[in-house]
Amino acid sequence: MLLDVRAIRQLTEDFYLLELRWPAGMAAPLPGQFVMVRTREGTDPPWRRPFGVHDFRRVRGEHVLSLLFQVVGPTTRDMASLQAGSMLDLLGPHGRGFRLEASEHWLVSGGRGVAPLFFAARALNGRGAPCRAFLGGRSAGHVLRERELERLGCRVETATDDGSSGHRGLVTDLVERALARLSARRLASIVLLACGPHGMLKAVAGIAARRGVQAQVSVDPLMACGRGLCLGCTVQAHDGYRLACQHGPVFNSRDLAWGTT
Amino acid sequence: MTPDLKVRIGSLELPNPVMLASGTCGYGLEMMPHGDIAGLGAVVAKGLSLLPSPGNPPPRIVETPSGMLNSIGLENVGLAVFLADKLPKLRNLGARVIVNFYGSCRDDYRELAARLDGVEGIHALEMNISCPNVKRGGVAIGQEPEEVHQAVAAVRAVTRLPLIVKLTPNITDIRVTARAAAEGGADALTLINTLQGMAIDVETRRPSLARIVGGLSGPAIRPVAVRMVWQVRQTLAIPIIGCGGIWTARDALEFLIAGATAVQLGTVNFTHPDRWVEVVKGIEAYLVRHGMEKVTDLIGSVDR
Repeated sequence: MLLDVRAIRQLTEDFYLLELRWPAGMAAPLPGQFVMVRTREGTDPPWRRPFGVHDFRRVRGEHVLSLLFQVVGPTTRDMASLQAGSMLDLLGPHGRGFRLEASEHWLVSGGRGVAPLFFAARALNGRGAPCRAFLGGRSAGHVLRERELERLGCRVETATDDGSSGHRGLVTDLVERALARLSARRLASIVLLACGPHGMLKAVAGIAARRGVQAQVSVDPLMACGRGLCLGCTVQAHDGYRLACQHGPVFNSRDLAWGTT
Repeated sequence: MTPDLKVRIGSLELPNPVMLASGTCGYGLEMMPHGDIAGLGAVVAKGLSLLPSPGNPPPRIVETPSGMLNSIGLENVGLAVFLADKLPKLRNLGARVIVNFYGSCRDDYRELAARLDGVEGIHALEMNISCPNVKRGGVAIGQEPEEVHQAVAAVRAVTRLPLIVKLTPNITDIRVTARAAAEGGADALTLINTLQGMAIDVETRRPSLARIVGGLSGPAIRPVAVRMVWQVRQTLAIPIIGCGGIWTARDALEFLIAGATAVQLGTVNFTHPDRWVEVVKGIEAYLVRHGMEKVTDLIGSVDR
């Protein structure tokens, strides 16, 4: 379907925030779900690209879906040149998102992984549930939505490889440190929600296992269709394969076989 | 006047020549939000085996110029679940269902075909002897003319359903295996399955697919497929279902003109799940524009 571009804004050198008008009557996306975007006619690139829904809210009587994206290839380059009033071809929402059922949620992101976590923070804020956010990135320009997450009631800490924002080092160091101070009882009430590079997700899964907290990770394997047609976006679980597009993209970290990947 | 889009594949009459290719539309049910599949010529269900198959380890797919490589490995729910769960729903939708099936040896093919014969709601069988992504069966049979002949004959003996044989392009001369399938008793041929290909991530120097080699599909292979349809049309009278990189109605017309009686849309379904609707309309519009009364007048009409 074609969606109307409501606004587009450049956030940092290569990150953009795109707002689309969501048609009335369409099923509303849930936090952690994704959409499949196409910008070009013709056959290159042949696939749509998946984007975790960054935000979904009502603004002056209309539903607005936001995508936060980094320019990395042809589709995101095209998206960066969209303007208010342009149209964007999009399918979705697809997949199973975050299950926000714990008494406390900690968001853990790497780079653009903050995109779907922000929508989770929005939902948690709506129900007054406590939320902390740990945002990682290469440098300050890759740590996004810090202020906005604070406005949604999250306590935010950041980490960068070069120390240009927050802790110099891995975002997972911050998480590990924060969890180390807590009692077993408190740990049992926390769920980590993570999205970022594979190595970061694997580290989060390790921390969750060691500390006895639950973790939900949003994975991002190559995806052709996003709807269970191609069976290409398989991830390895302990008891077999799962499709990221249908059974995920959000999985309980304990269910996935991290050792083999 | 509305042109006549009906075509025949053996004893099976289809309202139009557009199908969805096996492995690109699930069991057909997954396509319903994007268009009523009863409006298709037929839907070809995901390759079925006697027992469920988990498929190959990831990564299974990679994008390539105007195409993709896959090594899914024929992951499927198996015969029992298909019959109990998928087929009744397809029957209710009124879709014409072609069941693509495979085995690891000739006996598997024969047993599966026998158990699918006479099942209500199955309109034809598509015998897959061309999958490049399984260790046994698949392409191992499809590359040997004598094996093709015997395997097709074995299946022919146990089914009254229209029997379509899907051939591999990974062979020197497709006319040889096409003839072997026809002589074995096939009612039609699907040309072509994927071309074997490989891609490497140059940063890690690892193959992009876990199984290293996969099958190339999409518009990148279309000229190869059109050529093979045309070659087989020159030598055999058997109906051909053209498949390989169809992205638009224009591409479908190319196959019909080359000699295909019907076409299958595959990789395009991933990007444009409703494209088949436009392809049917586009074929009709073409016939009107060219003053042709029926689509069968177009088949093999390439002007040399």
